[in-house]
Amino acid sequence: MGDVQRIFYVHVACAWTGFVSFFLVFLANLGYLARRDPRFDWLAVSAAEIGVAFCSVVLITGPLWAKPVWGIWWTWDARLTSTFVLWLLYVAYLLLRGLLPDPLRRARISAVFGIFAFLDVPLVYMSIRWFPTQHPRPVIAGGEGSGLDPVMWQVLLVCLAAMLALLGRLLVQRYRTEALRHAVEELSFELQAR
Amino acid sequence: MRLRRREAHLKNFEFLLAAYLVVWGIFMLFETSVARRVARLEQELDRVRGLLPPEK
Repeated sequence: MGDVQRIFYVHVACAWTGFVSFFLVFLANLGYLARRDPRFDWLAVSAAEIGVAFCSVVLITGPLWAKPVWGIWWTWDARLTSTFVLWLLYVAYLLLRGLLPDPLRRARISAVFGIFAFLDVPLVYMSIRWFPTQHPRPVIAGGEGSGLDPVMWQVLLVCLAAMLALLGRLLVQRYRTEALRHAVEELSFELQAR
Repeated sequence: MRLRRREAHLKNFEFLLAAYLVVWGIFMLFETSVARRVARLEQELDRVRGLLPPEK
């Protein structure tokens, strides 16, 4: 493959970090439905937006790797399709929020939608085990015959750590926008009430 | 021999470059978008605070 193989590190690290983001959305949505604390809703929307960014990277770097290796940009393979559906689900989650002006209704409906959307994550993970077609079989935790060179493991772990750190930083910043938005809404309401 | 091996490695380098540019591009765009939203909301918060009468 030559140098193009190096896409692997960023492609896989972004995919795993995207899964972590969507898992955070799932946990925050469960937390919101259990406690009805708006901070869970802020965390969910923040993690969803970041998850979509990571998933977008995966969906763009994948075809950039596929073209020189497979000779095609895209195929409707189980892994590729389920990842695209995952991206669409969380884009729909963000669009849905924009359509609901009432904050309580928005938080409740999007929490339910977010929990259902997460069901696609295990499907994406298992797709190459259940329906092995065009996408390569798993090289990590793929059973007998799979595995990664120790040096490649080290590079992948460094990339993963960097992506997780980026996720943390973006999450703190994005959560802050939700907290500020809430403060503005509260003060505007107070102003109208006077 | 060495040159041929180097050429083989550099083959498809443009795809690798494009992939890393996409990664940087998407995260830079996201970071810029969030920073702009924070700045706009902070301005809005100051404006709304200014409209409220001072507490006694």
